[in-house]
Amino acid sequence: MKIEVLVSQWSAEGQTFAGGVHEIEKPTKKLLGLVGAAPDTTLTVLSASKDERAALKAAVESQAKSEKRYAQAQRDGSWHAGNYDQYLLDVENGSREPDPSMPDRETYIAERTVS
Amino acid sequence: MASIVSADLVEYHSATQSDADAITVGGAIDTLRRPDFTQVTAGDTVEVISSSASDTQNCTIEARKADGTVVSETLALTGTTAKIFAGNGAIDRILKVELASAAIGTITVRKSVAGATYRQIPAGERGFSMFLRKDASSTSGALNFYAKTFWKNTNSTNALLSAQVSESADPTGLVDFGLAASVNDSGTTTNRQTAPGGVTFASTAANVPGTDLAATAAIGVWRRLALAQNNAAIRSTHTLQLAGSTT
Repeated sequence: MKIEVLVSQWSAEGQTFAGGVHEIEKPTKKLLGLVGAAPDTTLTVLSASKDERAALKAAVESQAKSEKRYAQAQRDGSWHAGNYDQYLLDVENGSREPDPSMPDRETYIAERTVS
Repeated sequence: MASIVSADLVEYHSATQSDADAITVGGAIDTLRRPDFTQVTAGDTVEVISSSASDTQNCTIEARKADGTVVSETLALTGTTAKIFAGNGAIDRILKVELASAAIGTITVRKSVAGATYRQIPAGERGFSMFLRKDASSTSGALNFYAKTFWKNTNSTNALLSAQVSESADPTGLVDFGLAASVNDSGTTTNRQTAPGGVTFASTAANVPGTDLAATAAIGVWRRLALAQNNAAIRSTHTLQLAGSTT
């Protein structure tokens, strides 16, 4: 497999790759997963065998599948928990205005969970 | 369903962000990724932890170091045990955090070890990133860069009435914004240096087309960064707010 690292350095579970082209002989399954998971702004795969390409593709969940999981997390309330916590963090950091009408966390989640 | 509160109004990225010059920018809303507005404390290392033991997917953090170089690290998360991202040493700012699959629990990105929280990724989402994060000024003249996000009303029942987008902070004074001509649009521009058609840029408040932002609807927002010739490096932000009334 040949990759091109597009940033100054890419680290992956103890291995480091400087910016530029790298030929990786017999990449492990773990490394294939890490390469597949890296965004296209970090690296690009220049060449790979059929089996390697299959492993790379399997390393990333499709946008459509993630969107289904997002919708499910909104229905079951788990998304609202994280969204509430992030809102409070935004207020703390000064990037959002405090809202005096915000309910407590438990009420916020319960009111938005689909039973 | 409860009345709208501020936390129901969420800013998301558009489908295509502007990391390079040669790609189309904008598109439809990407509800899996949010823009980020906070900076790490310079010289930090970062760790990632989840509220769920099932979050063991790979996670990549792209960051800029104090010397200006961009580095990236990909590691497998370890659920409720913090995973430290230190393979590239200390970083100056986080540019992007990207999960290989949707979060199962709430994922926290924080200063290592067990320090201040920088950001959280709610269940079902895939990450966050700064907008306008790799735009460089030119030695030969001024340049404009464009990026698109969306403000979404996630309340499933109520419309946000008389909805309006306005700047809440523009520390550099170099960024202004304009709204898409219609809600839920998927408009693009040719590349990050080409102005999107039909968008008027200003720093004054803008009314959402159609007056109200319906339940689950989103309005596209374009930002314009105006860099002067040889503009010095910027480590700053630009924040917008969506406001209105509710029943």
